[in-house]
Amino acid sequence: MSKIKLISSDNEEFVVDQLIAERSMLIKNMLEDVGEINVPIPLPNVSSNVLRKVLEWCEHHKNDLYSGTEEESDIRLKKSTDIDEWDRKFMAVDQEMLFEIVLASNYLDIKPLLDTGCKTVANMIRGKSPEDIRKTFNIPNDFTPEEEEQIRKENEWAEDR
Amino acid sequence: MNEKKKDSLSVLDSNEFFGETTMVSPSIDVSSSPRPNVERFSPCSTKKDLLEGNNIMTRIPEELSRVSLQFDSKGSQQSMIFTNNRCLSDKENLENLQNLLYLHCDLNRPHLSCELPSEHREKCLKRRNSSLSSNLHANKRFLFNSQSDGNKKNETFPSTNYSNVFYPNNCDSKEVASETTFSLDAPNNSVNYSYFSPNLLGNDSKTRQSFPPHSSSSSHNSLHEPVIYDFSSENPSIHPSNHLSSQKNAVLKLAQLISSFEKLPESVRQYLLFHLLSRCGKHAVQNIHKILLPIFQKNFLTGFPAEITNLVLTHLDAPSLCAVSQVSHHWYKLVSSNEELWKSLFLKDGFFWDSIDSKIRTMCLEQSLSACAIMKRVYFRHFNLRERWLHAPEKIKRCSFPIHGVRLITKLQFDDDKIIVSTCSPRINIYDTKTGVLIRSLEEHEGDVWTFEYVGDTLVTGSTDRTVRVWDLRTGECKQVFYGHTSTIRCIKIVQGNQSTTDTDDVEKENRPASNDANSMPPYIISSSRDCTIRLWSLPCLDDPPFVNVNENPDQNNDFTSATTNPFYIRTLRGHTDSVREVACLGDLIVSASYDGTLRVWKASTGVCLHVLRGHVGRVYSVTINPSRQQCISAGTDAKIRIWNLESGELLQTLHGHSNLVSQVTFNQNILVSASAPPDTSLRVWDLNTGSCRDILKCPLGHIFFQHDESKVVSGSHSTLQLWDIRSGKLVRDLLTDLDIIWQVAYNENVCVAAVLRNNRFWIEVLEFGSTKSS
Repeated sequence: MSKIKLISSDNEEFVVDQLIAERSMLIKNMLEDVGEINVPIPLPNVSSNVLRKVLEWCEHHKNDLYSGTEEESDIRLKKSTDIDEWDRKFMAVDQEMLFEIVLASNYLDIKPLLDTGCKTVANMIRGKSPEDIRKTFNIPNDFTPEEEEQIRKENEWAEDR
Repeated sequence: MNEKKKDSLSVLDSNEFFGETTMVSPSIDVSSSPRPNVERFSPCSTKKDLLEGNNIMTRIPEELSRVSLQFDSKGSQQSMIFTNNRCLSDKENLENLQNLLYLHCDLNRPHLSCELPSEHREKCLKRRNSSLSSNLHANKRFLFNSQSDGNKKNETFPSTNYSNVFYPNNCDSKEVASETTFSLDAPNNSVNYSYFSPNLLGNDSKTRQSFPPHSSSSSHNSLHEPVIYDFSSENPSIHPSNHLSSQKNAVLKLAQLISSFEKLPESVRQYLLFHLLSRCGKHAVQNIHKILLPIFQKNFLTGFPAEITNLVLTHLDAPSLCAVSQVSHHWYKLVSSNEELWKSLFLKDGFFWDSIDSKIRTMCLEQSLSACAIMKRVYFRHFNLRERWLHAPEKIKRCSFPIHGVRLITKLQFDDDKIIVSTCSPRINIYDTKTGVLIRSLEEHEGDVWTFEYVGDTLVTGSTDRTVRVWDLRTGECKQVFYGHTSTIRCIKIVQGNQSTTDTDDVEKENRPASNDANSMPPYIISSSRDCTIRLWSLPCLDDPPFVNVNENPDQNNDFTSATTNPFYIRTLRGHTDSVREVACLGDLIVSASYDGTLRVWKASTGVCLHVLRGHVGRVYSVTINPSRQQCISAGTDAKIRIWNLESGELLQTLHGHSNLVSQVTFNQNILVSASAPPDTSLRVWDLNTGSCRDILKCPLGHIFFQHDESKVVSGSHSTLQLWDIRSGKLVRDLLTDLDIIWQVAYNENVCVAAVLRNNRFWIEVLEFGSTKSS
């Protein structure tokens, strides 16, 4: 198994299997473009602690089948909340780290990880009241009481139950 | 022995600040350790265990977090274990603990300081310090001062990957006899800790000598070097019973403690902090948590690039999106100017745009609402409809009323005001939907009424007496009688302007000029009969004069006489060689299904037969038109469902699956539902995109009647009225079970009506779903 060298933004060097590194389409394409694998790949947008975490994910998912068009099959049964148990634990990090992981997966073009990250964030929002969401993400309420009332009315979606 | 114990105690006391359980190590006497590897100890038991050389475990108080750190000693192995049980899954607890643990390194992360406003960061640091001080039960001001100059030093420490605190990957004990080592970090960034081994407590002085003395932080920057922190030098021996003096001493030592803390390398601090926190009371930890939480919170949706934010939003359901839009101005904009979001939700939920939606859109455009607001409103109309039917069983209201003098029920149609049923008799009954009161009976037919249809206040009926009758529902008066058919009328359809008998998508329609041809024909009636013909009649207006040519002899009837005597007669479509069971129409096109095994496509305005659709073996029972695809779908005794191209007459697809005749087939956009006859008592849900059977809905024995839409199927068979979720193919619930036979089922937005046989009597069952308030 050939090894790839990755350099994080803080100049830490990571040596990983090519198979694992190529979970990232960015790296995969780079390797294809360059044509050789001995050149270290700089990843200026990913710090070492985030990269370590992302590589942990890639390692675990290295043998996942790549389904480029997963759209079709059974979309109706695929719920947003469905996150694999391992991924769920993997994503049980502080918000800062989660934020960084999502950004890194977007930059590195690792779609399944990006998707899992987005689902994790969505699950943090789902079912919460506006006030709970503010508390969860430390967001100040910048509405005036009038605006708040107006927007509340706008969003009265449920029928009188 | 006594002397040994005293020495041990003095060591323990000297560690009072850091707690008795901080310094732990395994017993050298492995054989005396028959307990399981991992055990829980309460902190208070630790001293004893320490002395006796038992397995030691440090435990964080329950209220801090339900996560425990364990020191598991077995032989030379020592490791730190996360006892997760159900704790790990408890995300909040985990975050809680992490927050506590990583406050230090994360506060010093340079990018974090960029994101936090400087005054905020300052405040956090101060708060952290004051919290720490309160944890130490110390004088706040005193600590503040001593800590403030330490802040600068903090900046120089490297940040640490904390995850390895939980999962040490190298937990070897190098010298079990004298010290215990475990690594806190990845191999290339590891920190080794050495601790006094309790079995050596008796001659601890000797042990201490073997460690290098405590020095300044700079000498500890090499992370590979074992760090020995000699706590005993910090604190003179204090008698444990003298609590007050001990506390006083502790406070006096605080400055020293904190300056020592400042000198520690990052990872040691982290470790120490963890142990400090594990000794804090619930209240102090709560305070720290409150302070720390915001630091780790992230305004994801604002921080992400737009495309990622959108990705997150697409994973949310509609109520959550509504909550999101009420969070702040920015979040409001994310949702409330994003028409695509609501559109994709609409499609994802399997909803289809219908004519009411088009009306809503027109109405909203007049109020100059944004496209997004309109889409949202339309979405919620469908959403609430679905919720009302599928998820609000407590809102179902049932009302039953009997029908008298009936043998069987041939057709049922209803709206919010009236229910019309034709029974196997010359009589048509009209009931009040809300009260069940019989409004009137129409009794002029001379034979059984097998079919009818009404639009507005105009009712058109077809009977075994070979006549088509047009009634004014306001008065119950039979206004027109059309003679011509020479046998029983099987099917009546009213075609109004650009409306066809099937629900058409207005959006689709705009793209299909062909369907506008319907405008070229005034509203008309189609009647099909056992006499192999289809006849077209102008739909009389309510104000048109009555036309009853009683002298017309049906037996001698022909097109010529009809045309001359009946002003409403348009034409007769001839070609079928057997009974025409059902017709469907779309604009100017009529498709007829016949017992002769064929379907025919006719042009209504000219009467020309465009295509003969051949393929079925045996009778064709059912036909329906899919306007968006310009297809017609047919089914019959050969148990096959066939899909035809309306324009070319070509057979596109044959759906196999049913094992007996298919009595009914209906579609809704890309979903097709078909019902079979016993012994195959199943409903099948087909995906028109793939032509595959998505679900088989197993019904109780008996003939099945059903109706379906984008979210549900209501089916009646034998003794049960059932409600299915069309998307999952799962039974939602049995709506009615105390029945003998279900004859007919129909529903609209709020109400489901079934004509049933119960206790040998005929009943109309009305089920009202949720509020009748229109959205």
